[in-house]
Amino acid sequence: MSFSEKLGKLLLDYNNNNRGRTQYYVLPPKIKEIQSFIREWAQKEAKPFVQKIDQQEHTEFDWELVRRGAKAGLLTRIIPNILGGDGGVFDFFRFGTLGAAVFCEELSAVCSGMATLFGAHYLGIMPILVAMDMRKARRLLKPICESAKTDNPKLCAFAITEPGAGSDVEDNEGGQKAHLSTFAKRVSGGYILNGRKQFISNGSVASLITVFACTDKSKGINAWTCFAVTRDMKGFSVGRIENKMGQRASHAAELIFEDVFVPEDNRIGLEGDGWLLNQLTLDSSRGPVGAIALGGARHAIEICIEYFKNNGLIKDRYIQMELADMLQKYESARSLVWRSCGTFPPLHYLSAMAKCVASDTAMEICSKTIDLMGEDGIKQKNEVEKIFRDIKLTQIYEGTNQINRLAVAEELLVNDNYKKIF
Amino acid sequence: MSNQLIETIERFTKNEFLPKIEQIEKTEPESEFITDLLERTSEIGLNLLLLPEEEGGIGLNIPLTGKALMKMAEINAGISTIYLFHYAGMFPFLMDENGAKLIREIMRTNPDCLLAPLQSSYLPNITGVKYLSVYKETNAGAFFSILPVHEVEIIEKGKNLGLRPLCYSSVNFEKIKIGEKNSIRMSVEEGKKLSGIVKSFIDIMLSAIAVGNARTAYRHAINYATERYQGGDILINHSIIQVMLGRILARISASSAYCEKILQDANNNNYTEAGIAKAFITECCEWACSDCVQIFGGYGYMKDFHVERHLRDAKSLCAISGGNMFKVQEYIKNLMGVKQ
Repeated sequence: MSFSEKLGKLLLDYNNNNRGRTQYYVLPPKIKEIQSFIREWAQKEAKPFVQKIDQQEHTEFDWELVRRGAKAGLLTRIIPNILGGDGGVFDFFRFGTLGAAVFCEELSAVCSGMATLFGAHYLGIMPILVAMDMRKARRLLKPICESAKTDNPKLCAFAITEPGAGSDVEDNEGGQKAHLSTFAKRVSGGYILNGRKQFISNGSVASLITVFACTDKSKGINAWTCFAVTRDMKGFSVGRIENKMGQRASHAAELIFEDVFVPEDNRIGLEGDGWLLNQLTLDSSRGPVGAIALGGARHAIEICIEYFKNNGLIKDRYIQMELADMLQKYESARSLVWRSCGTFPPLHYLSAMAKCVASDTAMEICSKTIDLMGEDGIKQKNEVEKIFRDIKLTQIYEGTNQINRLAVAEELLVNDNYKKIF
Repeated sequence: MSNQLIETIERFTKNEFLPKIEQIEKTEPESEFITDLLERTSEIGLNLLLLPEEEGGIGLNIPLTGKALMKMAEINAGISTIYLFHYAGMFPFLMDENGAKLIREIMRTNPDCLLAPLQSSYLPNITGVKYLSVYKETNAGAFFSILPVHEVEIIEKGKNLGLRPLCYSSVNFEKIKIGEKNSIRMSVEEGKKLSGIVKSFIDIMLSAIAVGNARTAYRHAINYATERYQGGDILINHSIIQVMLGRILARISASSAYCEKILQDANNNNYTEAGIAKAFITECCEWACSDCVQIFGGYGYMKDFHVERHLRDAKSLCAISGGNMFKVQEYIKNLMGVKQ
């Protein structure tokens, strides 16, 4: 049985055994520590950059923020000690992706774009970690860990989306029909990569990119393979940097691969493991994306409460009801996000649900905040308009919410699986 | 004649604004580029639409003015809103013989001039504005006055979420001194009523702009859905997309019909439903635009595809002229008042 088949069976058994059996979560002390640390760091170190980054040209990138983050260990928290990182602070096997979710929410409560910047870095590292080849992981991640201690920190990125393959590559049904056009041809000692990737977060600035390519066009998702591509590889270049509506702290770029030779040792997992690694990574990141959405929503609620305190309308019963409504929606969505993050690897349907509920809730809260604040809500200086622009992306990336709903249906409607969650 | 005029406006906005949309988004509201654009727009008489023919204007009625703004908003909701505020600025003066003459005189000496209404320290648009139409209540009665914008102390200026190049500002309202000159005077009771009508006029026109804006977002979404392949099939063939597009269309059609009704009501001097209709229509249109962005997926979030601009504009239209919730509250309060 190949690695891919073993891992696939393991995951299937795990999903079948745990469906509907995750628990409500109260933050463990270790995660609480992360929360306090990031909350303080974000307020002190990241907040001064927020307005400047939002106003800057979409092609500019603020490395100073990354340097500050690296100094605080933000780039290496996901990487275990044995691989040279700051060691299992998130401790996936004990706490699932809860640490990552809390991390993302706290950063997003200051700026969602910053949360995406650091989140996309983790996303790039994730396939390397879940493939569980320690020797390879140590070699690939060593430069990332070492650079984090210098003034030239290195970032990672995760590249799957293509001009002709977007949300559909992020769920099973769509993935089986979609065709990755990025092709990896086997040659002596490695592979030759050709193709284009699109909307890649951190793509323009990352030193290490985990790229998904097809090795046999007739085999569909069974031929998807993951490769670690470094920025200095010949034939790799960055195309256009997208001009986004929001989340401007994080770049989304086009990546071009023209006869890029990737050594066999840079293949992550085996040939054909790509789809599984993609699914494991996305299942792990959907909960934290929900947390990014809720971080923004929390910030909007805070601004809204302060606004009504200052103008005295906080005593109005209607305003109180609307604020209570926002708080309860936030709290219930966060419960689902934490619950979905409580196991590792996360349950496919639960992480998709959490992402949908959290991002839709966050968008509703931001929208309501603007409605309540009227003209003041859309003024650039009051930040809520920025949150509105930022949060919209959480309904789109990691699979649009429509695709995530299909993922829930796909898993729960098969074999009457939905009965297990009742 | 009127339909020809609307067609001319449509053609003009398509030719003049459409190729410059990206530049309008990027450029500072006070730049020469925006000033030139607005001046050229006024050259075809857009700033005279509402002014009666006998006063040297074009003399469109309220429904046709709404239709003209809707057509403009299909290309750029920001510029359409700038003109809405211009019309709102002149609106109270057109109710009075002397007031109409005053406006005619100003427009004669400044053919490309734009006005904006000011009823509190918040000025909804300052882009390209040369005169303010100020409403103030004093011991001597209520006044609508025309003031050159440079006579007013601007405290701050800023951009909004959307509706570029429209730019808001805050003014020192308390310090504004008005008198008989360039004014129309009335009792405070009449002033309050007329000021309320101006607000309703703004609400009605904002509704028309919201519909125009959402229609274009819908057209973009339809075009995208018929061109884009997803999961091995053209997007429009997916049931989920068909339902989304159907719901978007239903909301826009309902908004459009409601908008038509309040425009006709206003033509008959009935402004009762203006606020609540604005709340309903702008929310429907925001919802529709948000779903249009969803249909685009990642592309929808990128500025090149413009649909994100329609969402920002739609949300801004919800917030402008006071929050929608207060509109609903105001409507019920008035309704109960009538019953009592």
